[in-house]
Amino acid sequence: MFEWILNFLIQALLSLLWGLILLLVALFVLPEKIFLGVIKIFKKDLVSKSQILNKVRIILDYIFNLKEVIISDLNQVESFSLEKDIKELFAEKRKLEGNLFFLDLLKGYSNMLLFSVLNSGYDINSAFMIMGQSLEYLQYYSRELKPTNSMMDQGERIQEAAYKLEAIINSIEGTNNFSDDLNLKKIKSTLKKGTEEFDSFIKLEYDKTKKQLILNNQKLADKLLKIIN
Amino acid sequence: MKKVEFFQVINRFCRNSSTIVKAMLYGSQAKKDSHEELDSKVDLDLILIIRGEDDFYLFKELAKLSKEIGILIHPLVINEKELEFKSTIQEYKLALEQSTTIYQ
Repeated sequence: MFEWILNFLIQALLSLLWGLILLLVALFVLPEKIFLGVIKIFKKDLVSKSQILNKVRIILDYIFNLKEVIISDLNQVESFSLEKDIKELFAEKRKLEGNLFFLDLLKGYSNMLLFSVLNSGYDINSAFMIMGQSLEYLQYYSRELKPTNSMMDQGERIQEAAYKLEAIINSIEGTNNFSDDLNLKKIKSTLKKGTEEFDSFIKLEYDKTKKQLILNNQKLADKLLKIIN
Repeated sequence: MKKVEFFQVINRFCRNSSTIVKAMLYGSQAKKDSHEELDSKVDLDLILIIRGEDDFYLFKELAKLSKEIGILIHPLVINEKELEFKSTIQEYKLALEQSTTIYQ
């Protein structure tokens, strides 16, 4: 009985040893793809470093080196459509990022405009210096906004709003009647309303652009993950 | 006003503020020598990294300061929570890289 148990253990150890030897041989002899295929039967979440590195390299080339990348391991129709989608999402991302920056600059000017009106007290003339300069920059930066798929006419709408505000300021500056208390109160109230409206409008456009950029980035990440998977 | 004097004014301004973490000057006025006069016709592009949400008081004071010095201050206010996200965007990155730190 003891001999039988001993023999069984020896045979079991020998089989294990042969199994290990065969596994090692397979590791060197079989192509990596087949070897991983076999291993993946037992360990489904196994990821090959050498295979994933190539895919990560493609993604990094897309993001940082702005390279034109050809995806070869999907079928032709699928890879063409994926490449097209990624290219479009990247172009949209760049436009949205640029617009976010210029809207941030516009936000700064509109805030300065608003507070120069609120701070002006009885000295409304001094506020016109800041207002005039701010308006020039507002017009300049609103022209820098590029149409995006999600917000085609954003630049035009902002330019229109800036012209509207400019018209309010010009009409008030033209009156030159700031000595009368009641008139000054009326003028300040009109200016305040105009700048507040413009300020809220710019903030809203900024928030919309930021939201759209985050959404676009998410879509892009999903498409890039398709390459890894 | 000379550039060096403006730096002193902004430094004082930032020290008195509870929200400003860092202040930087960028754009054409940043390229001037420290003892050169600032151009009153060109705005002062200021990057302000802030902590907290409420920037109402900050803009109010900046508009007051702008009126005092007679040059339009143009603030680009970035919340420190958003700094990492915005630093990856080319336009912000360039502005941050080309700026001179005034206060930290």
